[in-house]
Amino acid sequence: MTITIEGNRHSFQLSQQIENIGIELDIILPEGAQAPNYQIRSEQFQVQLDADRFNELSESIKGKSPLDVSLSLQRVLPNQPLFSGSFLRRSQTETSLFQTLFLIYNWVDIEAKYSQMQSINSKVYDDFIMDYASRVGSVPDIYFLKVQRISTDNMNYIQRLVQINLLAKATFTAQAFGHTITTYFIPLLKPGVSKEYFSSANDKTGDKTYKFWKQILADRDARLNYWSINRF
Amino acid sequence: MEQVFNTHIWFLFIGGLFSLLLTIVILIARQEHKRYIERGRLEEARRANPEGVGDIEAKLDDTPSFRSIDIPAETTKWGIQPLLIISFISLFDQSSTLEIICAFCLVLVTILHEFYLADRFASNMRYQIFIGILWLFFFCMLSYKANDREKTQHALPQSGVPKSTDTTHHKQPGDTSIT
Repeated sequence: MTITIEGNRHSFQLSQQIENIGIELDIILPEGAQAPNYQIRSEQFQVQLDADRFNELSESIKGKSPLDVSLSLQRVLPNQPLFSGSFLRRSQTETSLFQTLFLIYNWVDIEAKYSQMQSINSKVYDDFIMDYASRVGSVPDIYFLKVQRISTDNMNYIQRLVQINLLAKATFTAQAFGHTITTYFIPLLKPGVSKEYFSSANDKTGDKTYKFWKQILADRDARLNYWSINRF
Repeated sequence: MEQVFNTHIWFLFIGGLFSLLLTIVILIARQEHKRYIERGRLEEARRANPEGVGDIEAKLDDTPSFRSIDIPAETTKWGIQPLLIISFISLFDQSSTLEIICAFCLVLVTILHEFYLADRFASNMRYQIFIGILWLFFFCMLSYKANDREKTQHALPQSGVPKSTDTTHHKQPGDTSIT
């Protein structure tokens, strides 16, 4: 089972290239074992972690702001200079996408271990995950788009929104079955983007993309409202 | 046209419209104040984290609790309570069956509006028009009835009045000493 995050690794004001942010999470469950091994890899580094280490890492960066993540990484993985050192030079957008990887993994924990694609499918559309930290303030969250929004007609708009940091792509791949689930989500770091950035080659004025973005936000509001009314 | 316009009812409706206007002005002022405070906070946050905040106005409009108010939708949401009060006020003097039935129907509509329709359809143009038509209908209906009442009062001049004038003009023996 592999989870990949793709998005624009720089702020939209600097660059609008979509690239794999360079981090993949492999979950390897050996035959008969209870806890899986984890492998985080990118072009620059590759880290093998056992379950305890992985949990410690994901707990230490939970609810942190992107600025604090690199410090937490240095504390938990002191012997990985490449890993932690490179994070000091990374942009906040990229760091927050790295956090998202752990957030998504913890959301689909059991299903990912046993590659239950059906259960993952029901969890990663029209749903949200909160990056809960035990302190006062607004709680950041990620929101997965509805299935019907991810259609081929909307692909141009989605592509543009990924370029300007408003969406990111997550892919779940089960190598054993050759089965893939692709979903898009609003990342933790949601910058305000003024309307002129929404225009692209396919949508000259940017109105349609803007409308699509507002539609996604309306979906998200409806979902969060439903939760906050009916949670008890 | 003169049948469905009554000055007394017109003033009543002006009062209702102004109460609605007051509500909307207060809502806008509160929201703008909230946005003003949040704008200051975001400007501070942008210094530490320019990537995460980006354009402040766009960020404010993307956040549900700081979005600037959609005036037609908000007017629709608050628009039925003044009408209910007006329809109740008009029940006080010699109301006819039609007025009672309409007020009763309006109570049902208000219950539906407050618990379901306002949240669901407030931004829907058709629903906004429906609320507008409701106001217009009540204005015409109440004016018509009021005009009717005035006409009958003119036709039968002061059926109950002579008695009352008698009692008021009848002076007690004790009162004469004061004048």
